[in-house]
Amino acid sequence: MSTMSIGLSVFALMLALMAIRVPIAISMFVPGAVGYLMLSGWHPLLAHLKGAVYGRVAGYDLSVIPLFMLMGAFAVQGGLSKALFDFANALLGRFKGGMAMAGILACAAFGSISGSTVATTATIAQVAYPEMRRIGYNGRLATAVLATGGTMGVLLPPSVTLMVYAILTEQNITKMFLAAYIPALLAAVGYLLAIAIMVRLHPEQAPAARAASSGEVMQAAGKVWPILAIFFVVFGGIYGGLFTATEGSAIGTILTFAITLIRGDMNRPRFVNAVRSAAQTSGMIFMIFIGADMINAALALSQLPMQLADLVAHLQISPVVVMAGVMLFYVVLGCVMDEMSMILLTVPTLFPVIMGMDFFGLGGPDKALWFGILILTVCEIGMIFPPVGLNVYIMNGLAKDVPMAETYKGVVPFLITDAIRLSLLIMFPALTLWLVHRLM
Amino acid sequence: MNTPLSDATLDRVLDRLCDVSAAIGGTVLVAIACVTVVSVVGRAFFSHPILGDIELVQLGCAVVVASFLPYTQHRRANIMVDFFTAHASMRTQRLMDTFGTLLYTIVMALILWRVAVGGIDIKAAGERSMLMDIPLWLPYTLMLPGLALCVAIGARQTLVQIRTALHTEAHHEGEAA
Repeated sequence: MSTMSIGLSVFALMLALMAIRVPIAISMFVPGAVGYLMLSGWHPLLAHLKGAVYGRVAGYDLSVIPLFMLMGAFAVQGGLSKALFDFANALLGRFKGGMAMAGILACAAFGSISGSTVATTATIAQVAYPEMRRIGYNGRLATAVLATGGTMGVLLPPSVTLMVYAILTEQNITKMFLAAYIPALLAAVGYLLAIAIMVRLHPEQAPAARAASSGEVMQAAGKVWPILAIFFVVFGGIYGGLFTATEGSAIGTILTFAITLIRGDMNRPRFVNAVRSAAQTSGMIFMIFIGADMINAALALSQLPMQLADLVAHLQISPVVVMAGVMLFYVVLGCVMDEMSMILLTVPTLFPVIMGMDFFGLGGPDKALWFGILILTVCEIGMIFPPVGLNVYIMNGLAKDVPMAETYKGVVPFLITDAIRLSLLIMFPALTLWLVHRLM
Repeated sequence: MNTPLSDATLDRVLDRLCDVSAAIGGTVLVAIACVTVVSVVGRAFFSHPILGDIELVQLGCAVVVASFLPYTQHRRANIMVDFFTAHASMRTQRLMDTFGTLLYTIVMALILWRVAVGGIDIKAAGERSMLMDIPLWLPYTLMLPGLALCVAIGARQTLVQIRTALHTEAHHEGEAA
């Protein structure tokens, strides 16, 4: 077998294993190990494995993942989501569809301190969903709004997916964080507009507006200070160059714990729950890391990524068309795979292809940031895109009275705004890069 | 033949070990966070950071991850794709899951073995970290209990799945007869 065909077989075997319910990490590891074996033999494989796993998991940059997971878990257990939602609702309640908009804002704010999209969706939805139904929102709109709002967690720092991309492509994590804000802001604006339009077209989906008194607003504002404090200390420090992302995550973890403890929202069972949920999620992520490392080592030996980069570079296709093709590929792949595995699997192969092409004359690091944000935007879309939108599943688990098909119908307007945003981000890299250039 | 009592005891012990492993990982993670915070505060206010805090974080991270892995498998939280098999029978799905767990166990056993050998080689070579002069075989060694527990929990889950499959099979045949 030629090295190329071994590379392709490795890929095919991986897909086959995934299709028969083998855990994704193992579906990547086994073909990777077999391919490595065929390409270079038993001894090199054993020698590779001696150091590879330790090398992968012992990383200073990598420690941001478990640390931010733990910080987010403390925030979830400490009940910070209710304060956020109440405040957002006090601000926006005066508009028709205001509580739905508050759901979007609360997701954005909670996503800004939690690295997990799933945790963001679930935490905000637990608070917001019963409230929305109680005052008369219909199930389709309520579930769709919260499932969509949670997707912003993919983009907003400290998103794990974002950190994984930065670590994988050796980008500066702080720059990567900064690049995400304007695209995330565009997402939020798009969603709010979509809600405003929908409740005008279908007034029966949302109850009448109810403005909060200024007293209520003040009272609600008094309870959100912990989240603001955590956000400004951690990210202010990171962006202000006072400390690294890892240091920020450590400070954030201790700070979040201290604040929830002082507020009386932290106790022993909650602490244990937080550590366990961080353990479970981090374990899952690192397992995929280990598997993806193995398959990527084999693919690199087969020179498949280089050949692919070469092939694409010699095709006379405009780079923007290639980019659109890559995005489409991600949407399709996202239908069957989760976002994290998708990035760990494809980025090592596709990144060199993209870096080898010219896009609007962007320099290397800029191109890497821009491509990262584009992939993450597609990942966001994948979280609510049928047939397997992870966030729609989570919402369905929380809101059993609404059929999943209803939620999928409800997310269509949001998918339209996402598609518009993705096109804008592809056409205008400045949207991604402006803030990075401004502040770094 | 195992008596049901010893089975239950074994499961309890494994459950407990996975919890303890997650707790150890959590403790190391919190310790990493504390060291880092102390170092940042020291640097900011006393211009006296902890020299080599980066190394501690790095080595600690390996221990944290290895300690978290068995808990993830214990909770069966290693994600897989169920899109293609959503309409397959329960029996087929269970068979596939058994195969998946078996593969997991083999992979973890391979990793356990290689990390152990890697640690031995590094000890022989006398490699130490640059700033704090920590012997590098230490984090390798500290990863081993977590990885060994992954193998144990994987093997246990595989066995239970095979036994359940055989049991239901026998049950079905009994019904047919």
